[in-house]
Amino acid sequence: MTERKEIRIAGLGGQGVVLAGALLGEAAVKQDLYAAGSNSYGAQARGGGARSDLVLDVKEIDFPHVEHPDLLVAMSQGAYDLYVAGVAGGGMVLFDSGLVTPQAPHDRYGADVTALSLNELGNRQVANVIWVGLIVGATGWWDESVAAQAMAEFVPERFLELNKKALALGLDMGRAWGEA
Amino acid sequence: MAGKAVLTGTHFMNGDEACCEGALAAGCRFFAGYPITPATEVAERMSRRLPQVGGVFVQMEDEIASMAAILGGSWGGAKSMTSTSGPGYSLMLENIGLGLCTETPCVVCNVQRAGPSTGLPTLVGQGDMMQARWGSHGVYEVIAVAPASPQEMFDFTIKAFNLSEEFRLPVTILADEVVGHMNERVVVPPADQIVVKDRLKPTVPKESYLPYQPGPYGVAPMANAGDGYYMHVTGLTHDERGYPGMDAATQVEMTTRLRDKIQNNLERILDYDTVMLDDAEVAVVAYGISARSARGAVLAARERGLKVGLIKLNVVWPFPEQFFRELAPKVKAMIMPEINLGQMVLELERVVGGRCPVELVAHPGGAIITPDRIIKAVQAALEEKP
Repeated sequence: MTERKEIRIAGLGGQGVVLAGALLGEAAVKQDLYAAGSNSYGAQARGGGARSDLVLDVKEIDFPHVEHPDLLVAMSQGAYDLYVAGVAGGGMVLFDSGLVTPQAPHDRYGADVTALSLNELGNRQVANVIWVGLIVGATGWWDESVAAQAMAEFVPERFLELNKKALALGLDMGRAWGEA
Repeated sequence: MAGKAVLTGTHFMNGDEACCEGALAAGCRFFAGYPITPATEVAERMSRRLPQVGGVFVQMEDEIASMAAILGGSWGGAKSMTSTSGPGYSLMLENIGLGLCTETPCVVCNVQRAGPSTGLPTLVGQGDMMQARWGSHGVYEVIAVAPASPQEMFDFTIKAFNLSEEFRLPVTILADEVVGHMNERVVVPPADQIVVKDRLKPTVPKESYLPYQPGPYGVAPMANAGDGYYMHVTGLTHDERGYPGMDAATQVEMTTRLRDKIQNNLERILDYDTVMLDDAEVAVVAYGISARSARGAVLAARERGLKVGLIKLNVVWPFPEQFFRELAPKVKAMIMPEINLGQMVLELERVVGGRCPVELVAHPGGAIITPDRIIKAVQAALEEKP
């Protein structure tokens, strides 16, 4: 990463959107990047819209908000519909293919992450850590080992192994996207 | 984070959390407050952190009581603080006046949201700037600081405590929702590298102590209630003993004291940063979150060859009058972006006194000002015929 990047992760409350953003921000700071993270969510504990925005840069960040994301992660149809038009030219859109019906040109990078978390790992709550792996793998903006270190600080000890598997699963798929 | 008052290290935390850590690092050991978006995270973290360091957290019934409680906490000898947002700040103002009149050191963090009234609870505003200066009734001076990042929430909270202790008055942190809720890198230095100032303590015999008699640099030493010094604490106009004096002469004497301890010490209080100001033809003047948009605009405009500089106000009250009076004839124009329909710009206009045009870039709240709008204002100012 050599210049400012804007990232928007959006979905529904309860999907771990805010935690994913916080984890990626922490990882960025750990590798000496500048990071500014902002969240927005409704009053509901689950089901309302949730959004986590992150700006990364190699220098001090002046304007801290996302205007045209270089990376959009859409975990719900509502989030996809709301934010896809604002994606920067050349920007990348990742989406949950079980929950989002995409349209060209932003229909390339879909994975049924919710189903994967249930079928492969037996726990839908790790879907957001699979997403973190996907994001890190697909963009190459983070150091993978630093992301793993940040993740380990965020999750309770008893869920660490499970989350490591989730992160590895996401990283593998994300790398394949990054090379495509 | 158990047990340590100073969390030395690098963190990715939001501004509200950083404010809490700054307070603890400055020695705050009493917090009384009432939760309100977007300041809730200050109270929330305080409720966990204060008991870890031997401090006391009290959730009060409302903001009127919160402010009263921290005045009492301060007279009891504890560095004290509360946090709130616009609606709560309105309620606190009566007792902030009591704190100003009784010269009680304490810190009030106002994480501004868009108003008036309940307004936009989760969205940004900078509409309480004049309220912080003039919101309580009567004749007084205030000190207020304006952080622009989570790091400055940490640094300026320490600064606010130091100023409150040094000058014996409530100091307001005029933060805002974006600064409060944004997560960024916050570096907490080792405890021995943090400058912490404490209120002057009396050195005279207990019987001859006068709780409002100006001491060195015009500020009276302050004894703790219960230490055995004679003291009288009242919101009535009072003399140096603290006794009410219901006449104009006592009012003149007291308000002169309140004014002079600030106005005669401006060099110790005023604080602003400048960026590329030396050869600037246009000066952008900004504070808080708007100073970041302004810095982005100034750097981008410089890349296009426009001669523009930035003055970032770290302390907004008192206002650096002399500095702007001297700057005014040297620039073609000054531009102030703020998330209200024109508040600090009125002060700037007053001080500049027509010696250069002053333009406002306004937003009524709910979003921050984009650098583009400031750049356009700079271009327009440079194109004006002299």
